[in-house]
Amino acid sequence: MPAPDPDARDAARAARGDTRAFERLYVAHAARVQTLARRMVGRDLADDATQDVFIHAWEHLGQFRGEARFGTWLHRLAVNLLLRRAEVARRITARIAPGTIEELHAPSSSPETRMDVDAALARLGPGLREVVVLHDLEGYRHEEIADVLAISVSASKMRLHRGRMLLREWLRP
Amino acid sequence: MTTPRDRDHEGQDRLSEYLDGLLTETETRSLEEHLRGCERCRSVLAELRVVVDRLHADPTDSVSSDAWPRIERQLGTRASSAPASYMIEARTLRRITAVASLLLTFAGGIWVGAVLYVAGPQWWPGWMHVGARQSTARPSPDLGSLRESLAAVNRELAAAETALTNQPATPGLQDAVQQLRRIQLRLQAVLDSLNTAQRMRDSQPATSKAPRAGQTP
Repeated sequence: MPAPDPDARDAARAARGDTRAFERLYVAHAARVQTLARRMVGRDLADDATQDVFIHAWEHLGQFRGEARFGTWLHRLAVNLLLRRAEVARRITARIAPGTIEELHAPSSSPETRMDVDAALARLGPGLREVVVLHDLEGYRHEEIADVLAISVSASKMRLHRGRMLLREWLRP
Repeated sequence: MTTPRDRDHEGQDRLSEYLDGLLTETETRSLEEHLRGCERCRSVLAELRVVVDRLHADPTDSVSSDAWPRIERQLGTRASSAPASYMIEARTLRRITAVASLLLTFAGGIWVGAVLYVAGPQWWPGWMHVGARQSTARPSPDLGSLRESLAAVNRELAAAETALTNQPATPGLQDAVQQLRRIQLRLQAVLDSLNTAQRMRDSQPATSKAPRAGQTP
């Protein structure tokens, strides 16, 4: 029998408008959401994105049915929101100045300098970053990634490999 | 154009899957055979391992202490619009009242069953012993259904309570909330009792789990 969800009671209370219960949920899950946001949209936008995720979760608590654990529900909600946010940011940047994304994401240091993981992830192109983050950093399986990104399992595998091959170049010591 | 030499390294595209243990046994054997004779692919594989290890070592962030107050302020300003789904309409009220009545009856039956279950076979009526002898086990209440019922009650109660806050003058709403609260408490108590009984039953030796034939109060 699966262990009971420790957040179920607070989730039900928060759904009734109890902000103290929602604060406890925030304390329990904020670090994971913040880390996910930093990996998906970058360090500069991570704070705002985390805030948006929790406000979005508050507004949609009525949809939490308790079928999955609250942490799993929140994580999936965060991934979907962050994917949309990253896509919007990409479209805006591309419309303002096509080609700017690569320049913005290009390493500021010389090629000889070791790039950190954040900069390397930011440099990955559309589609690759999400798959690498979800698989290698958030522990999603290819089937789950395929579901979230609406792509095939083989596309997910291919993107992961392409992403890792690029990171291999950029993260080389 | 693909040269014979490139074809030799076609397995390179599947090194990530190999690294993650996702290849079939045949594919793994074939790739390992290639790796034994190919320094270039071995080198790429080693570098991919380093990449994955570095990603796995990426730490979890800490959250600044002023983050929650900022979020809480937003919750306050959005409180009236946030639970839009909780704004009650006449048909929602009818649904809540109907669910409350139905569950009150249902929970009453479950309550009696659960109390008897926890009390043990010596308190069971005769028909339960007949059923138990046939199945050679205690009649086990369906915990999954009870949990689902409790989740349904919680949802309805959340909707009703929020609606009551927003529209306190709605006729019949106060009664619906009180009914749902009673059902919630009763279902929760039943679930707690059943969980305790289940734990006690699991800790007993297997022979003592089935009721003895002919046992009477």
